[in-house]
Amino acid sequence: MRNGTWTLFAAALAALGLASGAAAADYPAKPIQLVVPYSAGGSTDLLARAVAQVAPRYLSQPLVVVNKAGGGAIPGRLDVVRSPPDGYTLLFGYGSGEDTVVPFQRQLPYDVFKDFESVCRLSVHSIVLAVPADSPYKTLADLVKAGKQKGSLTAAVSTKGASVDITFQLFGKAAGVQVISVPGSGGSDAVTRLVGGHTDFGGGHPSEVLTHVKAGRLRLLAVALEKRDPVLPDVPTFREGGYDVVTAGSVKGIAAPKGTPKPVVAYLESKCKEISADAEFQRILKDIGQPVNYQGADEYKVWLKGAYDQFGTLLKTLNIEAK
Amino acid sequence: MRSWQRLCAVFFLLVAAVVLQQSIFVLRLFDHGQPGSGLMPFGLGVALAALSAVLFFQNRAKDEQRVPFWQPRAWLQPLVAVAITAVFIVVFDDVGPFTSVAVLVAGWLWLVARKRFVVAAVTGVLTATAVYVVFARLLMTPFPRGILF
Amino acid sequence: MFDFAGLVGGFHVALSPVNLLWCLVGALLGTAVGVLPGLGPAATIALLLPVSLKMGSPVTSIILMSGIFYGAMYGGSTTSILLKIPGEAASVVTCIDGYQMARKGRAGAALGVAAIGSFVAGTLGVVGLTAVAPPLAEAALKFGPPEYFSLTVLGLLLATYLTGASPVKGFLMATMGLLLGCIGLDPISGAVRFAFGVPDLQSNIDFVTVAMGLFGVGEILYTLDEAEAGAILTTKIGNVFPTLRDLAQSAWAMVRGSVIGFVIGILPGGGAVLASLVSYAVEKRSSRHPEEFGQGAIEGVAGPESANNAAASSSFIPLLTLGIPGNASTAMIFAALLIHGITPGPFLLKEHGDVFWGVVASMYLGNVMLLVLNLPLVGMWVQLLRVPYGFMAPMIMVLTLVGVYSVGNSVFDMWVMLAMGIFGYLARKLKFDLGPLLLAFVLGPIMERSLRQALLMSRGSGSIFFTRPISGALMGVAVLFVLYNAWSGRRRRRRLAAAV
Repeated sequence: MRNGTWTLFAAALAALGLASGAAAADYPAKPIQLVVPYSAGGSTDLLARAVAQVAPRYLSQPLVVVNKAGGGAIPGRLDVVRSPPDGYTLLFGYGSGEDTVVPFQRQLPYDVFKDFESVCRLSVHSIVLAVPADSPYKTLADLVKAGKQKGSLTAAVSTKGASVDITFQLFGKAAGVQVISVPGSGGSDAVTRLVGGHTDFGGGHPSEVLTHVKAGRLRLLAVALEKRDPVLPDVPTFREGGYDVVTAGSVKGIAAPKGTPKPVVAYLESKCKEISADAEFQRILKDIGQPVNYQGADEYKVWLKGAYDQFGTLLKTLNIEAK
Repeated sequence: MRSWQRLCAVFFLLVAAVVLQQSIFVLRLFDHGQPGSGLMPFGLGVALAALSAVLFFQNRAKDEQRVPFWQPRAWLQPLVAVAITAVFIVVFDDVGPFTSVAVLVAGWLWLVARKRFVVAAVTGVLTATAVYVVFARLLMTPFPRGILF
Repeated sequence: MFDFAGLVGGFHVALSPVNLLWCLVGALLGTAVGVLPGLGPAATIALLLPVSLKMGSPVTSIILMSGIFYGAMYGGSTTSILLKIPGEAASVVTCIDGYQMARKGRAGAALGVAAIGSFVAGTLGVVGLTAVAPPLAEAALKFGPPEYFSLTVLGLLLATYLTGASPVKGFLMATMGLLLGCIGLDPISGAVRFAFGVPDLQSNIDFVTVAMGLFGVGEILYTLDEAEAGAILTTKIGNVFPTLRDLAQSAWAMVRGSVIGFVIGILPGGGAVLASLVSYAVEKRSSRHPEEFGQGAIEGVAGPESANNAAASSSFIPLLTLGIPGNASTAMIFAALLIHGITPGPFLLKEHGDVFWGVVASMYLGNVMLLVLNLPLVGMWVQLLRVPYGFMAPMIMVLTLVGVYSVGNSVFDMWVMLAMGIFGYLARKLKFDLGPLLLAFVLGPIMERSLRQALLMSRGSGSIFFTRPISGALMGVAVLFVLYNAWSGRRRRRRLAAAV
């Protein structure tokens, strides 16, 4: 009898072991959640939905976009950190300002690099400076001249201390003009205020301003990259205007919670690569004004750390305080 | 009623005190000449304190009515309802939506509405099923895993 | 300006069997969503976005989503009237008189008038959309932070004075509401306020949690309180439908509400709430029996309901003509359009005129469908009221608890809702009015953010609120309003004193 019980026990153990092993090999066996810690309709959300739209061609299970906005995008990230590392809950939007800038300003309940496994990078958005179409500034130099005359310029930015805010502060320092950032509830709100002419200048990411530029309501004066943005070939860089303003902009990638098995991460990474090469995906991204800049898991981790360090130095030079 | 009104005024005054303490010492009143995160709460705290004072000393003839509070008929049922709900919330994460809803509805009907136990239990199970079908299946609300569902 | 040919083409598109079907599905879903506490139209649209993207035609997916949006508005008024639970911020004002009417056995009349008023508003809204959309949208752009501040101040004053009896208690509740709105992240600097170390409090408390707690749970607890039994529901249920007299009384309220809602609803972010408040104020002022307001005046339901539906129509204007979404639901529709490859904005009319007109025509159809759906439903809802309250109470409680959980997946939210419920119950017992609290909670963050943005724009000068024309005008109205109320209050007290 005891022998029989032990055999049964051993068999059960073996079955369990097989089951968990099988589970890993069967990935994905159920829908995968893409957690977007921003509200629906924003640039990160759009990108996530574009990915989910194209994914069925490459994955046997659907990608479900889940919005968890609010709290400065931190609770949404925290949710992913706390979820089981089985590859079914992923963070979408890994690499945005909340990961590269906010850690210097606030104590976060997680570590951006230790608590996440980087999966891939999908897009890097530059930051552009724009003015209302009916304003008298046709070039960056005009803006700076007016700024020196008036003493200060107001800038509509998404949120305080975000990458857009920092870029404009950097510009102000380089040009010797005081820039008063007027933050709001997000990128879309900032652009609306700018279109209404309530600040001297403003800007954000190309996807946020493109519709208005096409409609003739905004004029783009400069982009904060080393070379011109391929999505905006007519917009000069800050460097061309004589001001050394280059920032990493806003980055959008995917991350998994720490401890996710390596095969799962590698699988996801390869799928990301395929999706970013997909023709329909590229068509959608072009329409929404977001460039496709794929980077694999390990390179992205290194690159992101570099961007993080760069912002850290910038914050110190600009004396933007850490809370 | 006057004494109840004064009690309310004291309550609001206490809230005002907490708000003022937070806005002066924890939050910043001003930030480089601009309003800081503490300025608005500070103003509200001052307003609250002032209004509580007015409420304390107010003497409105219209409000001189007895507030039926201390008869058990008044607070007993709401209290039991609150207690049952509290139990629901506490166990929700552990026993899952189905069991907790069933217990809440059955418990409520039995203890608050004083229905027969059988009626309460059956209604509880039916409600839990309906909730499960609508929220967990149709709307795909992510619920914690529970004992039964 | 009125492009008749375009509109006819639009109807042609909207009346195709596929589009009609999805319009119906959207309307049904939206109504269901509006009635179920917790889940809102934006969340439902987000859930269905992947499905709608697979539909061949972008017009069809927009039709589905706008159907949900409108349906939710209709459904939200149902719970406001029957259970005093506002489906969303714009329905809070309906709770005031609508619920009182239900208690007096006039639920049918209230629901009927709300449905008809919403239909009238929706129709007028569509007409307005086709006629005056672009210039009105341009005007909306001129509303910057100073204007928003003045407008929300006015809205707060309206909420405090009009929804209660005692100004002191009203202001106390409003101040508490404003403080409640401060919990969480500071809108400008991102600093955490009043969280006291609790991580769940680091993001602002959700409207749904507060509304369902204060109004829903609070009302249940209050009803259980047997000492207050004198004030509870009459068991006699009157006419199931509004009488001709009811309709005649509310006719002008509907028209006025529609116009007010249409104009104010264009403002992104908060337009519908303000519209319903202003409509309530206007109706109270133009009524021959203002003392009925708060006790079940039918105009107090007709006006705000028309206003919030008209605001829903006009919230599409900034989306379609400028490419600026005004609220969470239109933001989702914006996303769907972009992914379909259609850029909303001034070129939408030129490049994809068929989409524009198709959407407009389907809005009209949606309104007709919702009216046809909702009027018979009124009878059904009224029958539901016959269920003994003993059974209803725990059901409502369960619905609100599960509903609030489904919004944020957090047990903490349920605790907050319960706490709000206890607070609401005590407030009612002690004769405090909760309307100003909830409305202040909604308007407060907008007000503070606009104030600080405006001061940044003006480099610290407070004169900006008075030197800019629109803002100055609104501030003027606010000042006049306060003075008027102070004067009439003093006059009333003198009259009372003289009568003694």
